[in-house]
Amino acid sequence: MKRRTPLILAVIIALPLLLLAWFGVRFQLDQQQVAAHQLSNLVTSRLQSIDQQFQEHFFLLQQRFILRADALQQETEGRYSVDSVRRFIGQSAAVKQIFVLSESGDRLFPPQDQPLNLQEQDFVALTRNLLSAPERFTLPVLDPTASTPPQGVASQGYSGTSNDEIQSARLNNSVSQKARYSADISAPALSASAQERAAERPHGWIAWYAEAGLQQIFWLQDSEGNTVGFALNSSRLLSDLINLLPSSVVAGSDVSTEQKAEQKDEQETDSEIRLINDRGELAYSWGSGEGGQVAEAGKKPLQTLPLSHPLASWHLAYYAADMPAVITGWLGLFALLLLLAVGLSTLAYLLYREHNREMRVAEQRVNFVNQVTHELKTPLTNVRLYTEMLEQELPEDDVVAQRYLGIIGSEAGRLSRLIENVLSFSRLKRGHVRIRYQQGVVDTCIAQVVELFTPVLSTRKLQIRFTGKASHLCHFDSEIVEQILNNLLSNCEKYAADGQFVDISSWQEDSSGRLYSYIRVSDFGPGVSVDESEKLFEPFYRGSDKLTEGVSGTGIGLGLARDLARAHQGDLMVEQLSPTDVISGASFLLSLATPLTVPAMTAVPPMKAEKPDD
Amino acid sequence: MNTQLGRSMLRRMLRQMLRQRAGTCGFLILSLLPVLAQANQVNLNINLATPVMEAEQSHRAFIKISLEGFKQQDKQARIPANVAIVLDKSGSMSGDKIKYAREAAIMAIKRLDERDIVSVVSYDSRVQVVVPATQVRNHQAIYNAIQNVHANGNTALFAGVSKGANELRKFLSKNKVNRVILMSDGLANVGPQSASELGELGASLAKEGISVTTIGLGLGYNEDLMTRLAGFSDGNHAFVENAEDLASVFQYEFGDVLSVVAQGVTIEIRCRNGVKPIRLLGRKSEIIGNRVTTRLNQLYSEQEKFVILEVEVPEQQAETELELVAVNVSYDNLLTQHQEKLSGQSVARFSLSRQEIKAARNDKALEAAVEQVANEFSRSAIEARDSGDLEGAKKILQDSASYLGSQAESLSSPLLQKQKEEALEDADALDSEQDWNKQRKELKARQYKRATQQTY
Repeated sequence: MKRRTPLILAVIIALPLLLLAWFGVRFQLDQQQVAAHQLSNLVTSRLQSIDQQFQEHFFLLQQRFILRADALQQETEGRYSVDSVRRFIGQSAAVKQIFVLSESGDRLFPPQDQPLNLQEQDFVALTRNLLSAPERFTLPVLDPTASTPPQGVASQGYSGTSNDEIQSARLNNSVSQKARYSADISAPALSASAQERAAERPHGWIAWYAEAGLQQIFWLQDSEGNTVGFALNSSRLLSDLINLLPSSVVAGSDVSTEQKAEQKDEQETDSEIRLINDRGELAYSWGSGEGGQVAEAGKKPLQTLPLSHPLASWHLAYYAADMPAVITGWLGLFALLLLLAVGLSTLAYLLYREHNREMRVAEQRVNFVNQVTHELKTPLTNVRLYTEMLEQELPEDDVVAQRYLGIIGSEAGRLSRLIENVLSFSRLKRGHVRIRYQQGVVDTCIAQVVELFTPVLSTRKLQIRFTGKASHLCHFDSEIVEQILNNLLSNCEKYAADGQFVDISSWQEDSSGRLYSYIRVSDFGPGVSVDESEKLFEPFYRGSDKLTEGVSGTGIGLGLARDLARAHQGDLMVEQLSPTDVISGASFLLSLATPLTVPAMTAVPPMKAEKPDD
Repeated sequence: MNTQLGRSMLRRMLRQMLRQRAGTCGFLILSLLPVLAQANQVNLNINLATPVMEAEQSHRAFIKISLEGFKQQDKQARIPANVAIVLDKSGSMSGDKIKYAREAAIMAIKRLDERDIVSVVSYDSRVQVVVPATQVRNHQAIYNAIQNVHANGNTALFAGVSKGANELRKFLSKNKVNRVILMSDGLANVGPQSASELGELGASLAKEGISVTTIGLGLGYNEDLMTRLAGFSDGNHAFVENAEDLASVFQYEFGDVLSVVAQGVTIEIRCRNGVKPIRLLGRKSEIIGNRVTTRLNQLYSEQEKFVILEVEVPEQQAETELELVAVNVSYDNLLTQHQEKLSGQSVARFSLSRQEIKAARNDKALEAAVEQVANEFSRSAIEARDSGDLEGAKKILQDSASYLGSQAESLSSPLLQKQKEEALEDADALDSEQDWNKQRKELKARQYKRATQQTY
């Protein structure tokens, strides 16, 4: 009992906590997953929009190059004279070099029959392999996987139709963009139809590895079948790409409100995006906050996105610090759990302390009652002793005195049974009951009790009818049998006084080599209802109010009797009368194991030596 | 000495005549009076170091082609500037360095007014646009923004220059002085970092008319990268050892920026009559066959910029004259906002008289040629030292010194004498390993200044 209480309390605390923790963690994990998913979607779309920007940049370049190529063709009447092309290169910031191949694959520029300048020489040396395969430029290769050209050349054509939408959408922009773009010669005005014609001719981007990195070439077939190629200045390309990307935040800057707004925007995303080139080197990074530190620490990026052709083999990497929102979520959950745990524990502790105190007080009371009861025993024994002695001393004819003494004796006997009950009860509760088997006849024992009770019952006009058939010599504890019978009979005296008779019958049965003795005590009082039959044996239970009204009792008698019977390897139960029986009344059946030989062990192992006078 | 100067294109002449502009009526006389200063007109001078050469012998001759910006009539009429200051704020700049850099930038911006556009970009591992391109109206706001620049992180030099150039592009105009002023104290370590990649960027910017001035601070920067970046666009380059000197360098730089009178200068030299170009000293040039072209991004008010062309002249008979080169120059006059063209030629006489040859010698031109030749020696000395040939490098500098010495004597030029002493000092300094880093930066900066005739 003492150990069970804290256990129950612990369970009461732990169970809701565990449940809450489990749900909390699951919820949090779900949240996190959702957040991560949302973030990754967001990041992907952000990276994709950057890629889209780059694609637009290339598309703008393409538009410009198509115009330029047309202008160049018109200016030189299709001959691509060396000076014009050189002048063009000298003026075009984004272009590093230009090549022109004739329909038959001959190189028109850089010229083959004139001295070249240094850059042209370098370019020719670098692109020898590329330019020696002019079929690469004859048709746009729509499927990049279909052709795997040597030395890492990847070629992909832009189909004219798919670009039309973007073209019309971006064309107005391109003019303003261009003006900002470079201080080059103003774009030659071409009719829209000329543009369309240019867009329909085969053209495409080639990305190829030269010198130390990826180089981009835009090629276009002019109306006479010549292929004009624009090799981009790769540093300039990177510079332009960088300029398409945002710069980082200036701490505490207050130059303009626009900047402030931008700053605010950036601060919300505690992240860094890196542009990584084909060599795996960091080309540019932007962002704010701890994202950069995460990247510095060599952690893996949250997400990477390979860029589209012709920047293939470049990629964007997104780095971010752990989301603070998630941390607070966890923190909140743990704080809640901790608070709950503390609260519940405090409550449980208080309850436990209260309970313990009550237990102690109750125990003290029980001890006190036991002590008192015990103290009553000795004087009572003396009273009984001297009453008996006086009974013997007094002359037989002194009827009145004899009658008084008889009453004193029987009342003293009753008192001593009560005391015995209380003591046995507390002994049972403490598990101190010991069965002392002694040889004897059960009927003799019953007869003694009957004899003892006859005067008491007769005053209540009750008559005992005893039929004894348990006459075998066997081993049992006569004191226990007496005590059980005492209790049953005193119940009869209290509650079944109207029944006139109390029937006691006993018999013995041999069951699987053991002798069992049965004693049935039946009265003809009001009886016991089925509902009550089990409750009767609960300590301190005292029947229905109607029954117990005006009758004194402790309520421990039947329970004690059953416990004693069980300690004696038997039982005590209420016998239910069949509904056809006309006779009312309660019938108790006591069964006891009464072995013929002395059993090796007692029913309850003795905890400690019992005082003989208990 | 016969140098002719005049306008080459009839169209141009006619247009100018029609406009009745002051100073244009005398264009015919000008061919005989090269020294006559002309208002709002760039001066082209073509001087042969040895106008009279010994006959019946092939020669190597130096031709000095110099351009002088005209005087700004008054301070108020100056050309508006569009300047992007790109500040390195990497971790190595922390402490006093960044403080001086901020102050230098602020001091420099004080010279600008509302005609000008300024932007300030700072970079560490990332790039921050401290002041987006803006008219210089509210000085204090700009200063406040600059004061917020604090040092931290790595060096994303490429991206810094890119963003700086992008700010310039917002107001890019041929009628403005478009310039990125890059200040760095460390090696680029985020993004492209090689001299060639930065050079390519510089070349691309030069095509747009953006010039880049590079200021190297301390001993940590890559002088090759910085000079190359500046070289392509004809910007200035300076080596500043102590951050305290940044302010004065910025002042000089802004002085230059505010005195630009012409931009986009291209010089085309055609060698005639079998004369072969050998090299153009000082500046990057393109030599294709007998045609030499080079570009100067800008000309400053009253500053002379020149190139020295070394040619091989085939042997000629005595008492003959030969046109060696024809020079065409075109530039954007920022004051008139027109493209203008100049042309001229250089004619040599051949004689057998040593007296005549000596008397005709153009000391100034020769002095300049010798200076540039020695400068080339100095460059090859660095190359030799870089490849580990210490003795070779020393030898080159000593040869250079003795060449300078003999020329200084014959020309009685204190300038060359000084350069000789420098060369000797440099030769001595080659040995010391720990000083080489600083020495190399100094040398590079000095060479760059000589080659581009930078004033500071």
